[in-house]
Amino acid sequence: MSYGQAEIIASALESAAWEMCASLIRTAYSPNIKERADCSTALCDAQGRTFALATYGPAHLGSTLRLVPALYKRFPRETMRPGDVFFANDPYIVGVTHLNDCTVATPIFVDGKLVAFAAAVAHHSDVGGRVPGSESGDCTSIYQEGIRIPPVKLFSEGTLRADVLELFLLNSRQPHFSEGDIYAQLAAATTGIQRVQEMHARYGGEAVARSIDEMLDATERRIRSFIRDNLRDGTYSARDWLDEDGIHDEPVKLAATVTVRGDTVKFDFSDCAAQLGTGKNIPYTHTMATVYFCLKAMVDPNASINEGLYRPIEVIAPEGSIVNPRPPGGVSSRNLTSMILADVMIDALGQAAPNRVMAAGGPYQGIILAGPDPVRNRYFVDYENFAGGQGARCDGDGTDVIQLHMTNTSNLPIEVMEIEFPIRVERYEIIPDSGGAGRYRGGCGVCRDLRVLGSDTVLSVRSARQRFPAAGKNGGLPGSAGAYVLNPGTAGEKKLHSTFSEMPLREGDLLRILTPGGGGLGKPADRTRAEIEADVREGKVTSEAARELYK
Amino acid sequence: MKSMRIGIDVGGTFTDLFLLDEADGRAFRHKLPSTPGDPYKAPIQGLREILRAADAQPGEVKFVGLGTTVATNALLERKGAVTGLITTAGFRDLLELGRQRRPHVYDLFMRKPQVLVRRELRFEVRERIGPDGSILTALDENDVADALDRLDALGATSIAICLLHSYANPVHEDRVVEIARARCPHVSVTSSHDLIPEFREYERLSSTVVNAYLMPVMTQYLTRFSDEVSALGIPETPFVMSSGGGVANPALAAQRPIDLLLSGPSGGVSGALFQARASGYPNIITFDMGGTSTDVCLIQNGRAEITHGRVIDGLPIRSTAVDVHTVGAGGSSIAWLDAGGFLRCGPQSAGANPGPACYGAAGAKPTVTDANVVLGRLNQEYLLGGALRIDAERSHRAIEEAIAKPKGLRIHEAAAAMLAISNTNIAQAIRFVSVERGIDPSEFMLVAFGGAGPLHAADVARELKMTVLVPPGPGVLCAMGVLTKDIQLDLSQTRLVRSREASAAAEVSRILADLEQRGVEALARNQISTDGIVIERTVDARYVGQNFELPVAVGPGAIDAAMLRAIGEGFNAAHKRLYGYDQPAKEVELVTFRLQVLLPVPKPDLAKHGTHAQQALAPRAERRTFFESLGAFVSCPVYERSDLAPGMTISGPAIVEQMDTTTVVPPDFGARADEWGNLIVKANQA
Repeated sequence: MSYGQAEIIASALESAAWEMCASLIRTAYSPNIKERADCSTALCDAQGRTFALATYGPAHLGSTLRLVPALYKRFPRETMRPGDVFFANDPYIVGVTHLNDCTVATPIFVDGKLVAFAAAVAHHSDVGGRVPGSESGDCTSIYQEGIRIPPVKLFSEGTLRADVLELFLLNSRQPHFSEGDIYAQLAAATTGIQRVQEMHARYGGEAVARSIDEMLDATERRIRSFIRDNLRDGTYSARDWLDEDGIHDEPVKLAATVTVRGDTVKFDFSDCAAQLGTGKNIPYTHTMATVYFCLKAMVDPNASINEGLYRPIEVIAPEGSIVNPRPPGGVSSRNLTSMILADVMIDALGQAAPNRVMAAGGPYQGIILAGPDPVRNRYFVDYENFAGGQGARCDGDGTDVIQLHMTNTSNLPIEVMEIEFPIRVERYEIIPDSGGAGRYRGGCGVCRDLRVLGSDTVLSVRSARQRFPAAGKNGGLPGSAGAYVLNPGTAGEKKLHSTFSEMPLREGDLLRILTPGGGGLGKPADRTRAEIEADVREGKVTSEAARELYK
Repeated sequence: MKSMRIGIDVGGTFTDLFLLDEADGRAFRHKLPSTPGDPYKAPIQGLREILRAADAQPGEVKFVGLGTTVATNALLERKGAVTGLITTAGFRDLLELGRQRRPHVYDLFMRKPQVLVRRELRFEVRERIGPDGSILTALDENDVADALDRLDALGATSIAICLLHSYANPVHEDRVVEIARARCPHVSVTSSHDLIPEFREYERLSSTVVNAYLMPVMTQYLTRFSDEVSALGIPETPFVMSSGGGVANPALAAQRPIDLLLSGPSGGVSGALFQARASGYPNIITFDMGGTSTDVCLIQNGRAEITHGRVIDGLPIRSTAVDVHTVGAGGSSIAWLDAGGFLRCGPQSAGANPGPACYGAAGAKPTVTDANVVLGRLNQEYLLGGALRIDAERSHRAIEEAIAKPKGLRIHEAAAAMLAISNTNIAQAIRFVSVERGIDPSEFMLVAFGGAGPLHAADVARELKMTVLVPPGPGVLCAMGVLTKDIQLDLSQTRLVRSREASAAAEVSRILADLEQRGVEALARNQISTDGIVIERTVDARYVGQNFELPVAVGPGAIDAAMLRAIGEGFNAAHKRLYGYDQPAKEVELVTFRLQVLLPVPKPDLAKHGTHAQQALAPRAERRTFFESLGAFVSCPVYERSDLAPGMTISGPAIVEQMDTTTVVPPDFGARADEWGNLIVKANQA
């Protein structure tokens, strides 16, 4: 046993997970993974405990929570063989967060003994269902959201089951992306296998197993200590609203009661709305990912992601509610619901941690443009999220136009988009006065104008905070609401709904996307003159608004 | 007769010089404090001093090369010019919007880096070019004139021009430049297509703005430096080391300061390669460990890995640079226990002030250097040849308080764990540049330099089954590296060409010919002779449908169907090496074409020392040193590097001290001095 061995093995295992993730992003085909890094890679032990998880997308924080038990249930451990590769995407069975997130998982054998699993989860561009991209808030059940796949064997002892692959690809509108992405996931898993086998060869199975125990315990101790030191004991509540459920116009309640006791935190979502009849439910593992994200962000942003992080947390998410739906509830559009849920939790946790207070933010507004591309002679799907403004923070203004909480995906380069799709970008500009006024101003939203160049293009959208803007805090004012506007400034100008699928557009139409601003913090009257003048000089606040709001 | 060649490396703390007299092969090394307030002063003073030391006249100097951090520091400290931006109508915020990602996924309170052009200095002009280069909206020249007048009134001294799709058709950018030169002749101008005609607008914009921001500073600095060199009586124009591993004349360098941001590390990589190649090792991984960080770079067949895009201080920069990978592991890296009780090393650094605990500052934290002191690997009384006194007792106390006691370890055990963790971080950095790119590091030599590289090299090498090479002057290797490079010009052009289209060969020929023409013109503009130029061509390619590219070499000769097939095969092979699979049935798309123009500069000849028979080599001292493999402190001989004549060997455990570094030879290693002054440190059973 050499000095610092537990730390060394832990660090090597975490590096292995990140190496898998880097490999997946490099080799993937679809822009979703390549440019937006919507994926995760993980190593789990034979008991199913996640000991290293790498991701740039917080929605993936619980990707492997239920994976291994779900595999064992169908493929008993003793039947698994080297070279087996499992594939699955059903959120109700394997616990990924919607059908687009496809999991590739492989058992890792050392000397004929199964010691661990390597998993790679990636958002596939399209898995079938009624709309291109497979995500839509107005789906009435998961059956409309794509093909459901329980754990199946994609490779059996190294041999591809071509029939299984074909079945999956046949259900996709973009099979060329999916096929490339599956191979990228496989390459990532193979890297994981090699690294774990190398660790075993070098240190021996016992030392590796002991180090995994130690790393999980150390992460747990670390999180507990941060909870104890940073969160005041007590019970804190907050609530907010989702604009509508995707079909009916009724607002949907999201609420959390957070109880901090010593080094534990309980999140109780009993006051949240009942399960929706649409695609805006948050499946259980995504709710858990949202909880892990908020706690990590509030107490220990640099904590390792493993089972130790999960241990001090208790969650009450009643079955049949929006945060833990029963099948066949739709879940494809769960991410924006979880963005509002994260605002709610950060509000409640902020009451326990006064130096981490943040007003609610303006989440991204999503679009999918799809249709035949007459010039390039193919069917195109342009899937994009445009960021809104961050809520003002206790240490300063919210950042303008930046991805929040559960999302941190890039925009697609304009020049790439115009090369690839029959779309032209005509404006990409900060919206003045969109950040909520306050002692600290909320971040501004953005205006993006897209000109449709193809005929027969259809538009689907997903959004939040088009009716209930990001609230201000402690006297701060709310940010502006988001909106979709067709042909602004013309006789045909039309404000669109906040959720819909496949609306036909005409060649030459201009689609304007306005993203919501963040809420302000503290009274506008307390903002310094220098800060107000700087905002006016930079054009982020108009002089009229400055006079009116910052009296 | 002119026979002196001088390399200079201006670092943040020290300025190093290396002088080689080609007449007789004598080498001189010199170190003096940098002068950050007046950055040209230290190198000029250093030139005077090293010429005096070599007893040489300025008239005898035939080459001066400068590696400099002036551009990097001006960027990091935000001390560039008041810069304005002119861009396409609707897009002035692009610089600020970037890729809309937050800098840290979980730390919601982390700020994005400050943008270099404030919003009121960003102006829009009506114009639009399409992705195929067609003009959709003609340039409104009144908008341009207005923008320039307002920028002038706002005090801008440098202007960045970046219009959408200018890589596909530069006509509008060119016109804006013309108007700017006529209307504001005193203002510096950078246009994006001239700097990097590549697609992906934000990265091109960001690079253009950084270039504009630094251009006035660098022009002033390099002009001043050249004038001072000339005033010293040195008849030759000095050259400047660029990030890509070549040198450029000051006029060219001042126009492209983004190519100087890695000038220092690039000198180190060149020096390491030059020393290693002399000993017959063209495949090396450089290991440069300083106070706060470690830089590693892979060099295969004498060529350093190159990257065309980096992020510096949060700003994407498209520029050709040696692909140095940096980790926060240095001698001053602080060891700490996290809240879960796990021992960690770095990335926080004690820097030079307060520095490691052994430097004597009150309340200093335990660092990697302190662990080396506690374990007897470093001198117990002084470092830097006596220039720095150290207090070993403070190292013991700092490690005891912060690590050993809370972990329940003995002090030397805690110190050994600190080194093991630090070495693991370094080994991971080396794996990142090798294993993760499909390369086996055991086939490479680990060239250790920087103050702490040779101290850790053998332990890192053991982990990766490598052999170590410690060059003669590990502390002034960057200065030496400047002497070994050719004049280099990197050019690029984005143009999407599908390799199986009938017109592909003709189109690729035309693109490469245009690039070559641009290169020759740039040399001519800067009064550089094109005699003997060497041109190397690469293309960034991908499978149709992919959204990332890999570089593929384009061999010499005419571009025809066979050449296109060869490029496709080269791409398949690169894809397979990096990612483990290829798809030969898929069509390859050529995306960005690159040309490197090299103008060879005569290389210095190192003196080859004859090998002596093994003489009696006496250690200068003995020191109690702890080795993990022995689990105990043992009495270890300490040698002086200058006592090691070529051919001499020593077996571990042993320590070799010299002014600028300490080399540790563990019990399972041996060392041999070779005829080029390199020390080869190798495992006994390798």
